[in-house]
Amino acid sequence: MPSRVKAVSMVDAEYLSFRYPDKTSDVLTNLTLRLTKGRTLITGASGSGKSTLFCLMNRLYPDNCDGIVTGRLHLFDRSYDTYEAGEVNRRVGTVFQDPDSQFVMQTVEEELIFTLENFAVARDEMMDRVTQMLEALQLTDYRHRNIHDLSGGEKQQVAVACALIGRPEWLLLDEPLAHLDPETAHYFVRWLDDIAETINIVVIEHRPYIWGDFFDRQVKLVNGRIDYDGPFIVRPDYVFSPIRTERGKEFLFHIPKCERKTFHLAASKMKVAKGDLIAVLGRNGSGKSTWLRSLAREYHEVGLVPQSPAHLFVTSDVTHELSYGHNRPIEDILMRLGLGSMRDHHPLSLSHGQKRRLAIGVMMLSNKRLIAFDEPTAGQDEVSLRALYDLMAERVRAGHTVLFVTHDLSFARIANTYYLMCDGNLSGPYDPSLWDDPGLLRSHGLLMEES
Amino acid sequence: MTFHEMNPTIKFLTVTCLMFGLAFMYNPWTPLVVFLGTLALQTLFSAVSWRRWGLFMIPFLLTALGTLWTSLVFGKQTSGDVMFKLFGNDVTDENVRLAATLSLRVLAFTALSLLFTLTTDPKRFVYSLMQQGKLSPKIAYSVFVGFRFFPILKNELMQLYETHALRGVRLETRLDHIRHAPKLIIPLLAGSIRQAERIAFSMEARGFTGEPRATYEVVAVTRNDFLLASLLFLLFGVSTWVGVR
Amino acid sequence: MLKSWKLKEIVLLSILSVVFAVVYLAFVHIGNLWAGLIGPIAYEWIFGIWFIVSIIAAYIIRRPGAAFLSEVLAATIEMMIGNAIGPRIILVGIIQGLGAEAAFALTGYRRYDLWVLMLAGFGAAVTSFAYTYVMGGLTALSPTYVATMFALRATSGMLIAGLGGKLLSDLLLRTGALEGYALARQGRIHG
Repeated sequence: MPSRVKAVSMVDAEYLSFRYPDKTSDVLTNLTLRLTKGRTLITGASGSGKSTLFCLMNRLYPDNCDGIVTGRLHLFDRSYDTYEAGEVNRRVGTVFQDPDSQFVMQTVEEELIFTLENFAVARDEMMDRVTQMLEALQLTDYRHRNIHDLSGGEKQQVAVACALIGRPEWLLLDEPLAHLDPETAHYFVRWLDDIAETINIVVIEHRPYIWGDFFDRQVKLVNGRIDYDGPFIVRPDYVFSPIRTERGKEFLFHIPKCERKTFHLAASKMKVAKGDLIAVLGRNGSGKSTWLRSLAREYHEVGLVPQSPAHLFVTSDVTHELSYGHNRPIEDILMRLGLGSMRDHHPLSLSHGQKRRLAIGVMMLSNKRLIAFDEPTAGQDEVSLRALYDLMAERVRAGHTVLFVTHDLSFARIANTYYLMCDGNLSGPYDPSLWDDPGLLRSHGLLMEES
Repeated sequence: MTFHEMNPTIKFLTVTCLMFGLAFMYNPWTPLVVFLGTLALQTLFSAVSWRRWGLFMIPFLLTALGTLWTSLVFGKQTSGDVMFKLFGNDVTDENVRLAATLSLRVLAFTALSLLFTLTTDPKRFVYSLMQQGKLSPKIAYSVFVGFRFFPILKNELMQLYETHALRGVRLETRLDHIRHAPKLIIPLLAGSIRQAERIAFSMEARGFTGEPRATYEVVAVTRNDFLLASLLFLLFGVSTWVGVR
Repeated sequence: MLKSWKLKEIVLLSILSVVFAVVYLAFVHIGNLWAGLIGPIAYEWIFGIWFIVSIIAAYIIRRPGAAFLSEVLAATIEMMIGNAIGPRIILVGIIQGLGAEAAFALTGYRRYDLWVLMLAGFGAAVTSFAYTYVMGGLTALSPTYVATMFALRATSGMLIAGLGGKLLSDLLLRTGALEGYALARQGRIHG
């Protein structure tokens, strides 16, 4: 042990490599990294090893995946393998990406108490801690709410509360904004900035621009190695150029109204032409997805690719999936989508990108004139966004119409026609000059103050 | 003193004991007395919606009827006076007695079960199992996860139906939905299994180790629990006495 | 026994139990419809359905106790989401789970091939039938009728639970969702 006094590092890795069992190559290779304090951003494409690194920091790995660690990995100045399960987690709080799979109990209060029980907090102290935490985070109104009924953004706030109530020194967040609309995401970042003044933070994020100047350090991983480690530099989000096409003959869609217990979707009309690339924008919960499903139900020529394309699949291998419901030849499309080597695989075993390509193949083969995507960019890294861009461009140029529902403002720039959704009311069409109308954008939750 | 407040583990054990006891009583009077007595106790010591009670009871009335005539038609040969013939079988008074016993037993079982189900908060039951029954917290909290997962599963199922309908699967009538259900089990399970792993990870990340723990929710054991349990055992005693006599 | 279990394996058990609790409940209603018409024998030929989670859990997780625990959890959750026979269903779960578990214990938890899975389905049928025999008062019925009931239940246990459980799990394996559980690892070792 070095005798000189130094700050305690949450993670201190030297020549750290990590490999999953049964795999031939390392996910992390010769990584050297020390995090002592501050707010660090970790970026990297899917498969770059950032999620693995994340799970090593809160010590979910290697235990939970039987992975093989080589090199040095110290957490708070002690080797990782000297910790009991759950021990590090008292000093490191974690918030995960998926708002739906990080809770155990039913109400917010019960969930907070669950965490306190884990940390063996005295019983008569619990309620005060819960009250204080909720007050400090301005979440008091949620105390007795059922977690299932909260929105994605609210769930992420509750997840932060659950992580912080254990009074950790560090807070780790894995793409906490992936499922939030820009307004909500922006609010969440400002809120976190306010409440987390004294705590050290590590965030994994594909698209750091929403975080503004939140960070002071950035670590970039490429193929399991550190590519950059230094001060955080604010960069603009990805830029996607608009896809331009010739417009063909117009036809009109009537989307009927849809009444649910808590939600009313007004009837709407949409003019569509061959070669149109339409973006439907709006806040989370504004009714975009409901509207999209109404459209697909009403018109058979609309092929819907849901947010998780896995929902679409009805057979147990790629070949059958493509030939389901018709007897047109599939070989050509199978090859064009690069799925030739996957023909015997189960559709659900494909990667996310492959699943989406398979879904598009399905739509193409069933002669859908309009391919409609529900939130296609959520949780996607730059490489897969580019792939999606190419796929859409190709479809539009081939004379299809492509429509997508999104709250991803950078990606939405590729469209040539826009509709806006607000509280169940669809308005439009707008042309790209919409981006120069701040009033309109703000009223639909699509504009953030520059920070 | 109500069954709602009664310690769920003690309630569970008492009700289970009574049901086991009933299984060894071969006279129609014991189950009848237990059935009526349970209703009486339920009226006295709980606030139960009888509408719900009735709704739950209907299928078991059917089962009781089914049991009645099965035991008459397929009853084993017994000695005794032949009372009447059914589908060519001689039905003795012993057969009738047995048939009545078995179908009344179904009713008594159901009444006891409903006494438990309608007055027990499932969450309190799990807490109590952890505190009085030494149930491992790993299991107890997994049950909570499962319970919470139920509405998520329902959502997932509805989405699958909806997207499959868009794929051209015929899903117009209720029967279509039922017929298509087996095809949904794989996607439903595959998605759920992936979620299970994520939930387990976040439990661990929040410091859950599965060690025995003190919980905020405390389910106590009081004198009233034993009083209510004694009342139920007393009922069984009385019913046995009536039956034997 | 639970010490060596990973939390994710127990949560998996619980989640499997929820899915199958729903399936079980659906079949209780189907069974009830029949039972009024043709008596308790209505349940026999579909009885294997109620053992299936044991076989699937044991086959995927391959640890002592998986068969037993999953069945008990499924019963508990079934009660929580609205099976009226409440406490009785838990008892039934315990008894069926023990029967299936016994088969795996017999092989020293080393074999998980089709025969053992079918044996587990048979085991569950045996213990659950013993329970029905006592609680349902089958002593009152003619031996031929009782034998028919048992034959139906045993066949159903072996085919629906044993064979069906294996087919379902193997299909699930192909979806890639079981990466990180014993079944996927074992599969790789044996080719």
